[in-house]
Amino acid sequence: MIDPITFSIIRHRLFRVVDEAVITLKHVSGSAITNEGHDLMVSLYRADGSLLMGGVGFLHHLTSAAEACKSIIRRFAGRINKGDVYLLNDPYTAALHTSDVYLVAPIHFNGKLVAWSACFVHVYDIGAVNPGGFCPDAESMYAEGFSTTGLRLIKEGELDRDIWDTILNMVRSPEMVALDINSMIACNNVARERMIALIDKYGDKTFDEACQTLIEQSEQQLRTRLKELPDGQWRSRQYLTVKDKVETVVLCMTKKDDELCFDFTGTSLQSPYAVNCTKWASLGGLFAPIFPLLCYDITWNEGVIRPITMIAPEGSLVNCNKPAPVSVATVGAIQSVNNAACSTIGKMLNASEKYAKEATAVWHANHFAIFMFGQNQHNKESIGIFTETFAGAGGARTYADGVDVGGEIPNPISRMANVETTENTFPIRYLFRRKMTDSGGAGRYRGGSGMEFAVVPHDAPDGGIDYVMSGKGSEFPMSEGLGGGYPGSPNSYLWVKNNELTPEQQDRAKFSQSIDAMEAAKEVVDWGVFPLRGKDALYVSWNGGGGYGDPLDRPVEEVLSDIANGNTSVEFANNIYGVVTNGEGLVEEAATKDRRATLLATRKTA
Amino acid sequence: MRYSNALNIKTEQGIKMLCCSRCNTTVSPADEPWKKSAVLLERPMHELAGPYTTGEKVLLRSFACPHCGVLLDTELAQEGDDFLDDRLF
Repeated sequence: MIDPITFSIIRHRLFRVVDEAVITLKHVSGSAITNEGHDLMVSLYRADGSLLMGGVGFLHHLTSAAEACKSIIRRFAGRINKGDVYLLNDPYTAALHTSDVYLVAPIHFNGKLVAWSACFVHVYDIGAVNPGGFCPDAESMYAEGFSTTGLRLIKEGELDRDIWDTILNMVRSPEMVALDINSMIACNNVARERMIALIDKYGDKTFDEACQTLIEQSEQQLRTRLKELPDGQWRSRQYLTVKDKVETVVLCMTKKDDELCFDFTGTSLQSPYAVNCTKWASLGGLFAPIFPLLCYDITWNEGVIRPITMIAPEGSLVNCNKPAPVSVATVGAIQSVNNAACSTIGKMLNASEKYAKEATAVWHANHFAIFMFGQNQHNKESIGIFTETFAGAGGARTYADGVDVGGEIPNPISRMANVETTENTFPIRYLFRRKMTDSGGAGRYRGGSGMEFAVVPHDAPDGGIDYVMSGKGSEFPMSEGLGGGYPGSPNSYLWVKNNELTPEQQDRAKFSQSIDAMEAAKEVVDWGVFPLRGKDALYVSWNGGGGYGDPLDRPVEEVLSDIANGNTSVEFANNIYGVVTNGEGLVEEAATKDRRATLLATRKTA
Repeated sequence: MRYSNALNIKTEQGIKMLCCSRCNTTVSPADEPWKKSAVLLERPMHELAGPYTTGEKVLLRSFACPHCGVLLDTELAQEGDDFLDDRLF
């Protein structure tokens, strides 16, 4: 049996290997989505492809990249050599969508395959019908760009130029895609070198024993935790809309003894639109909240996968059949799976005296994808996402408000770019970007606020740019509340048609500081490709987190603080929290008492 | 025994019952869907203040204690959707 000190050292070295590999990836990649948004992932896998050390970044990928490793092992059996690097991005094999390209690399020690490193970035472009890879126009996966079930990009240390050139010949901005792929090659190189150094120091036998122990330890720890939680069944329902078609993801999570089952029976049939996801993507989507919510102090590896089962009906939104389009999956069905799992896990934790403090309402549930594309002010073709989507909003906890603009559950390191970074890359100017009032779900503890922003064209050689909107609707709130808390607000995407204004009105519109101050007609835009040209503006607001507990239990002074900090409006405070204020922002105590009594009475007589 | 922040489980005459954790009022037997026994306020989400710019079909269901009125749970629904039936074994 391995001694505990050596085991602990190896465990921590594995964490550091992943950390250094992530840093390498970020240093080489030139994409804002990678460097700013942290839409990336690096993890380590055992020789058989099972997860050894889940890294940070988008956690949806931890299990999917394991499947990518296993698929490569099957496909290239007997031909996997030291120095190889494989590329895979087929969603029906393992990936989430074609833009999220996996590079997986075997790690050999003394001629024997001992482990794998795997990483992904959302590449700059993948040659799909829409720039950036999210394809609201796709009717099947055949419009969603380059896709492979596995290619040996590097053979024994030598780059295969034919493959490299073929990929880059099929994408827009090949120089940026090349940088993305190079970043993953560098990342895997660093991971491999550090792993070999680690194994060399402690010996392959000790290393293998440590890995085996680590996985067994994680499994034991999760099973012990599950046993401490109550047995039961919890349900969630997520709606997402595309072009007025409402799709539903239905989840029933059953916990018995030391096992958890996630059953998506009842979910809508697969959609003609690209919001579907494959079963590997669904599995990733439900594990993304499992890791941080149930395994916050457990190493993320194969051990925590073993007690979990998933039922995803074939031909449904969460397990679609080829060639259904899936390019919007990461903000579509996968996100809904993630939200539903977050909701049911939150309810289960909230049913436990011991673990209630770990419960949370749903975080930033309406992750959105808006990709700009066009000639920028430097006369170069530019493609990129509004990284604001990664800024998120925290769900309320059972003891505290959700964190305003507090990120998202599936990516512990997500963040957004500075305004100036985006303005330097695209010919746009921000009119404003700030917290969104009333976006956090009401409750004893309030959901964290989301944000709002508006942009206009600026210094654009072509008079503006275009953008791909994969908003999958803004009709239904998605950040569910917990234990009586309200859901967070839905998203909103508006095309503000300043071009139709008079010159005087356009002058005023140049510096509009709120959506209400914008005089022009507004059109909802949530699915398709749209122009941003001339004087027009694009306005976006995104959801807050879900609230927790009864809003009438929120202390008056905390509501007043919310008003002062811009989190809550006077109207919202009155209607939802029952707090009445005067024109100076001070509480009207008698009126507040009456208002709260009235709201309570309304409930009892409903 | 805790069922959630808003509901507890107590035993009455040998039967497990769900009760309001605020006022201890019995809501329903623990092995039955309790939401049918709570007070239901169902309304279009857009009737709430703020940025709930939702259509008529988006409903917020609020389940309250029949005695003290404290909120026991909420859920989003479309008309006719089943209640989300959570239960402990």
